[in-house]
Amino acid sequence: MFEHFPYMLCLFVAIVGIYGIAVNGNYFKKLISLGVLQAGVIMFFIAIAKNKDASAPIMDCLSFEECEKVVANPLPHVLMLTAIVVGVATLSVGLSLIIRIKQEYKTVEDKELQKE
Amino acid sequence: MIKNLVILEMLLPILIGVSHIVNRRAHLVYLVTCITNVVVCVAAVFICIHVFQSGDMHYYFGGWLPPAGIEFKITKFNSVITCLISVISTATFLHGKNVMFDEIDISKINSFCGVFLICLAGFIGVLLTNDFFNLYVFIEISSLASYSLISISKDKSSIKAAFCYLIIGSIAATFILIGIAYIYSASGTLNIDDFISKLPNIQESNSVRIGYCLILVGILIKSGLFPLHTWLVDSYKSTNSFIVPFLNGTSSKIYIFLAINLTYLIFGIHYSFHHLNISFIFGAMGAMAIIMCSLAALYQSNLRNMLIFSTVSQIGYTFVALGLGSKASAVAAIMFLFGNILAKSSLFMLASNIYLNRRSYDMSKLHNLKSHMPIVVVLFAINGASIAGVPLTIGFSAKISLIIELIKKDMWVMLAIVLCSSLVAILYIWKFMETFLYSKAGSINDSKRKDGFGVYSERELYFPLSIIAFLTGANLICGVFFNRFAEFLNNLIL
Repeated sequence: MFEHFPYMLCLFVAIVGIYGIAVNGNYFKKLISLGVLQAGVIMFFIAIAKNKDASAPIMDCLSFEECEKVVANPLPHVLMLTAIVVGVATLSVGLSLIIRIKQEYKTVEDKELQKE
Repeated sequence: MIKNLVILEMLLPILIGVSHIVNRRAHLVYLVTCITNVVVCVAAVFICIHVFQSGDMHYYFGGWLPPAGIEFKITKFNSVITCLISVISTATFLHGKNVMFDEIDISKINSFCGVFLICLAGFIGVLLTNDFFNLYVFIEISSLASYSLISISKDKSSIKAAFCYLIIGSIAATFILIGIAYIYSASGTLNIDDFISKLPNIQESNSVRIGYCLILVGILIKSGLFPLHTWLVDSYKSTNSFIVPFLNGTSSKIYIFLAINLTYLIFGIHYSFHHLNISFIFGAMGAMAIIMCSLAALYQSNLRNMLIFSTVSQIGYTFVALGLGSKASAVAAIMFLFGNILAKSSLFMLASNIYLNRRSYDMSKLHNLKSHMPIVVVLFAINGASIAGVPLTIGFSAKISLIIELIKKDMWVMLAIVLCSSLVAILYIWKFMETFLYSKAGSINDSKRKDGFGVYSERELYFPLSIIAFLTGANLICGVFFNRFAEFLNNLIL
C-alpha cells in the first residue's frame, strides 16, 4: 500500500488540477489549475527517479566503478527543470492573454464572456 | 557541411526571429522573414535529396552519442514532410504581403514575424527530433508561438479563442508528458530508436500501454479529431486570415504526422492494431468527424467557416485511413495529409484574396466573382475539386486508395459514409462556386471604397495568385501521376 503512496499523491494533485480547469469559470483560476496539473506531473517524474535507500546523485569518488553509493536517477530531475521552464512560459503567455481579455471585455469570468 | 545544414534549418528561424525584436521597420522585417523562409525551404530540399541518395542522417548534439545524447534523425518520411511544411510556410509568406499589412497593425508586424519564425522552428524540431522529451519541448515551443499568433487579429474574440486553445493545448501537452514518464519508467530510455529496440521485451508491460494511450490522447487533442475539434474551429474562425493557411498546413497536420509515426513506425502495426486495437477508436471518431463536419460545412454561409469545417472532416478521413492498420492504408493517410496541406492551404489563401476584394467572407457579398476575379474562381474550382475528390487531383488518389482498402476489409458501412460525404463535399464546394459564377443584380456595389480600407482588384494580386497556382500545380502533378506518387509514398514508410 505505502509503496504506491507517492504515485497516488501525484495522481491526486493532477486530478485536482484537471477538476479545477473543468469547474472554475474564472480564467485566472483555470490558469492556476493548469499549474497544479503540471505540478502533479513534475512530482510524478521525481517519484519515478527515486531508488530505495538512495542519496543525492553526487559522486564522491573519481570513477563510476569505484562508487558503491546508491543514488537517485538524476535524469528525470534534469528533465523537470526544462518542464518547469516550459510551464512558466505557458503561464506567462496565458497571463498576458488574460490581460488582453480584461482590456477588451472588462471581465475574465467565463459566464459573462459567453454572453457577448 | 550537409550535416550542419540540419541544425541550421532549425536554428536559423529562431535566431532571425529573436533579432526581429530590435528591428522596427515593418517592410524590412517582412523581407528578412521571406528570405529566411526561402533559405529554410532550400535547405530542406537539399537535405531531402541527400537523404534519398545516401540513406538516413543523424545529427548528434554536442557530439554526444545516443542514448545519452540528444539526436536529430532525418529519414525519408520526415524529410519529405519538412520540405512540404517549409514550402507552405514560404508560400504563406510570399503570398501574404497584402493580407498581412492589411490585417495586422504595422507596429506589431516585427513581433508577429518573429513569433512566426519561432513557430516554424518548433514544427521543424518536432519533425526531426528522435528523442521523446525533446519532442515534448518542441511541441510546447510551437504551441506557445501559435497561441500568440492566433491572438493577433482585428476580431477581439480571437484573444478568447487563443486562451481556450492555450488551456486545451497545455492539457494535451501535459498528457504527452505523463505518457513519456510512463514510457521512460518502463524502458529506461528516451531515445526513440533505443526504445524501438527495447520494445519487444517490455511489450506486455502495463506502463508502456498506459504511456502509449496517454501520448495518443494528447496527439488526438492537438490534431483536432472530431469531438476534440472545438478549439480548432473557434481559433481559426476569429484569427487573422494571414496565419490560417500556415496553421492549417502545419499545426494540426504535424500531429497527424506524429500519429502516423507513433502507431506505424515507433510501436509498429502489430502492437497498435492487434495488441491494443486502436482501430476502433480511430474509425469511430473519424466517421463521426466525416458525417458531422461535412453536414456542418454544408450549412455554413461564411466561406471561411465552410473551409474550416471541411478541414475537420478531412482530418476525419485521415484517421479513418490510419485506423485500418495496413501499410497501404498508411499510404492513403499520407495522401490525405498531402492533399489537405496543399489544397486546403491554397483554398484558405484564395479566401483571403477574395476578402481583399470584397471585404467580406459572407456568401451574400460574393456574387458574380467571376467577372472581377476569374483566375481566383478557376483556382478555387481546381482546389475545391481536390477536396471533393474529383479525378486528376490528389484528393481523388487519396480517396480511391482509401476505398480500395475499405473494400479489401469488407467495411461496407464505412464505405457508404465515405462515398456519401464525398457527395456532400461536392455540394458544399458547388454552393460557393454557384455564388461566384452567377450574379444577383444589385447585390454589390463594387466601386465603393470604404474609408481606410483599399479594395484590391485582381490585377494587384497577380503575384500572390501565382504562388497559389504553384501549389495547385503541385497538387495536379501528384494527382495525374497517381501510380508513381503512390509508389514514392510507399518507399517513405518501409
